Amino acid sequence: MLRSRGRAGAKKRIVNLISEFFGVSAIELRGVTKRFGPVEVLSEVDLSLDAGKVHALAGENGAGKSTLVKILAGIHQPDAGEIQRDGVEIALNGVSDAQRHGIAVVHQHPALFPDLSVAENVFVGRQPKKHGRIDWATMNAGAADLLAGLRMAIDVRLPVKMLSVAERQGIEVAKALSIDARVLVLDEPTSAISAREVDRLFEIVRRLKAQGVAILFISHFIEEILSLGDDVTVLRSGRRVLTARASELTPEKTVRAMIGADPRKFFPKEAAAIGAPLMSVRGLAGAGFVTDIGFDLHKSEILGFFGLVGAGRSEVAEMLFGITPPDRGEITIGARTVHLHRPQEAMQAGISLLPEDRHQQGLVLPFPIRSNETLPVLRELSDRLGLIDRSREAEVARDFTDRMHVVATGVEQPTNTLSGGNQQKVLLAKWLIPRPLVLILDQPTRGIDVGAKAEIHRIVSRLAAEGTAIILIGDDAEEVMAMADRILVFRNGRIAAEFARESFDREAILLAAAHVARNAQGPA
Amino acid sequence: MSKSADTISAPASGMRSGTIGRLLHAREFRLAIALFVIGLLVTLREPRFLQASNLEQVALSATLVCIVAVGEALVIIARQVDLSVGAIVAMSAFVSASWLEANPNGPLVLVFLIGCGVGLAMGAGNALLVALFRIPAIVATLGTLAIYRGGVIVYAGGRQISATQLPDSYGHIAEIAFLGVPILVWLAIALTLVFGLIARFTQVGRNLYALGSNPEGARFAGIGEGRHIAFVFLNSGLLCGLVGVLWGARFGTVDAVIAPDLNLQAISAAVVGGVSIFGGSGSVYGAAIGAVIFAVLQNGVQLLGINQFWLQAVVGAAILVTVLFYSLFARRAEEAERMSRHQAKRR
Repeated sequence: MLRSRGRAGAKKRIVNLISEFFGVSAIELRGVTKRFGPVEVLSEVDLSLDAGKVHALAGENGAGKSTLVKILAGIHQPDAGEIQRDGVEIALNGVSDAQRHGIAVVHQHPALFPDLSVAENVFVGRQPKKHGRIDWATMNAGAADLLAGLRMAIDVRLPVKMLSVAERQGIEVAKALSIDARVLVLDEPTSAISAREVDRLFEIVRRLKAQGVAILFISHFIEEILSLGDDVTVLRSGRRVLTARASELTPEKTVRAMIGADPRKFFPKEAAAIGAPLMSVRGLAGAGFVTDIGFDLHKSEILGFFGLVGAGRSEVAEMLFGITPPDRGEITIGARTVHLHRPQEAMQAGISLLPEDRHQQGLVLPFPIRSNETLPVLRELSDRLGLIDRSREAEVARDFTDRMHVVATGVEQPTNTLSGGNQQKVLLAKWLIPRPLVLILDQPTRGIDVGAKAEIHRIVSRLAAEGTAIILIGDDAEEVMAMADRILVFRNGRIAAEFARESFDREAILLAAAHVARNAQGPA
Repeated sequence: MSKSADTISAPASGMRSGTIGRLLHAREFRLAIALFVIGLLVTLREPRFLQASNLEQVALSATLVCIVAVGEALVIIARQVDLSVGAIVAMSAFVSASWLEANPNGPLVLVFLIGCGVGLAMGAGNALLVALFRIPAIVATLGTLAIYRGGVIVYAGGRQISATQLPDSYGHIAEIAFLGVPILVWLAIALTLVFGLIARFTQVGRNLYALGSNPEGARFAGIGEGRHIAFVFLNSGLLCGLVGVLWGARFGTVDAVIAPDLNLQAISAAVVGGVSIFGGSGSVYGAAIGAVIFAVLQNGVQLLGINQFWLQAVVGAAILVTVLFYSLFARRAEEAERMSRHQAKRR
């Protein structure tokens, strides 16, 4: 086992030498295009991964990074363009094809088997065999060898469910090494681990690089991109907009490439006079990593929450709505201090939340518009015996369906036959019917078309003008900037910066969310 | 290959090491202890429990459930379930018996082939629905359960085939003994061992655990979901077909409504035997021990003269106690071990 790996290592070095001589890359993508239905998520992307180099890939959410990773992993196939390995065109029609060509992928969410042992996870699907039966001794020793090489002291017979997130990531890397990878793809490996563990991961990456592995490194964190990458490619809306040596780039230049200079799309925002303070939050902490969140929210104000995925904005929303009760902190509405342990309590206090995932948390899809909209207020619509007053229910539903401009045949149309934008309007109606003082919108326009987006913005804007205080959580800086009166930027569970509308600056906001993301790390 | 796994990665404190430590730690060992304690309790109240003839009865009644439970265990490990096992056994038993009735001098080997063939065909029906048409196993096998059982009832037309209508050689199968133990018991032990080895030492076996533990991860690892799901249902059907032939041999009388509770018994044996209903963990050995525990409980209830109707309640209680034990103690112990591991690392 050890010897064969040594031999394979020697072979890899020879192949690398030859490749270098002829100037071909280990893996090269040329004009790769991928469509999902009518949406083009990657358009003519070129990317070359060279032996012994780290190629860093940056881009905003939805820029196409994950699709690119899945193409390299053999999960998706490109609609156009070609993939070359050592200058020869190859097809990656499945996970096993990618493995055969020496491409190992560490996915964003480790795809491990919690019940299986560490050793089995490393060799899953390719367990070493002797006389046709699985050779556990060799497998355990091989896994222990690989982990020792990564300086990880883990009993390889432990089930993976006993490991920490960082250790699991280490197992993924060991798995990649066990197929003797020539190309290692790391998809946002640092988003869920601590600064110290990031350091260790980088050390491993540098060592693999020295061994001649070609590495594609994807991260949200600009600093990591620039410190670890030799080359940097930036994707924007599925297109490659920049490829340069990391040494020639600055964080500002990289962010500018990520956001582009595309003309600002304006969303209609009604001017609203911001009123008296309505809700105040002090020292809120919880969900494991959110600390020291404090802000005031005024009547008629739209307060934007911006941050990268995992920065803590959705967690704060869930605390305010009583889904995850906070560990510490005080929330006052009006002059009253409220304790929110359940969504019902939050609703009674006048808070509504439009959740991020409307399919899972929001709509009962096969139900008609009417039942979906009136779900939170059924008790008020019921008589003393608990029977629902159907005519009042229909009346309320019709009223709000009209106000939200839902395009439907009537309030009895099942919601699963509506378009995404109309579904979102039904959800908005559902959370507006209780007439909340504070409305929290978690990415209200995600995945809906431009026309419906603008309409939802208009509705939100009008609600604010009518006096509702709104918290708008967004992934898209441009959208939050267009709608909000004030923006709080979240990073690592804290409020990293605050911007007033007159000082909105897209670059500054993105830098605050991503830049200097890990002070503890201190790259050279 | 000079170093062994044990010397390279020193187990963190709190983890038991060594062969004996691991044996004591294994769930199957705790189950064996539970079995021993139950046996002891019954014996204290009723010493006749230990009589050879009684133990033989217990072993024989455990045998058939055990073989079905072994097949069911693999199904559950792959995060599926097969509710149709009882109906398959009944169909196989009745088809085999009526063939024997028509051909009393036919070779017994052929009866086994017919029974297994019937089981395999019905397993293929399940496999088709779940693996190809992607119908959730619980729904698909609920449907085939009714179809197969209905099929047997129509085919049998209310008829009963009794021992007198069948050749003696058939019933004789259940009486052959080797080293004083009925051959049926040896067969169940052998099948349990064979499937235990398949589960632990073959690629297919390990893939079943992977699939049950994280189906999406299995896709990322290039493990074909459909093939493995088809395998567990075909295998379960085959084992049920075999049990159908043995059923007639053991009980002599066969009709369309035999083995009414077998699906629940097999699933219960697997669950009590430590196979996680969520897939991915457990072993066929555990399921086999689970089948024996239920046989002992059944026998104990009879010996102690407890009202038969209590038996179902006792079985139900055994299932709940096992699951409660797991969620209250075993999971907490696992949590504590995980904590101590992380603390040990930090030091």
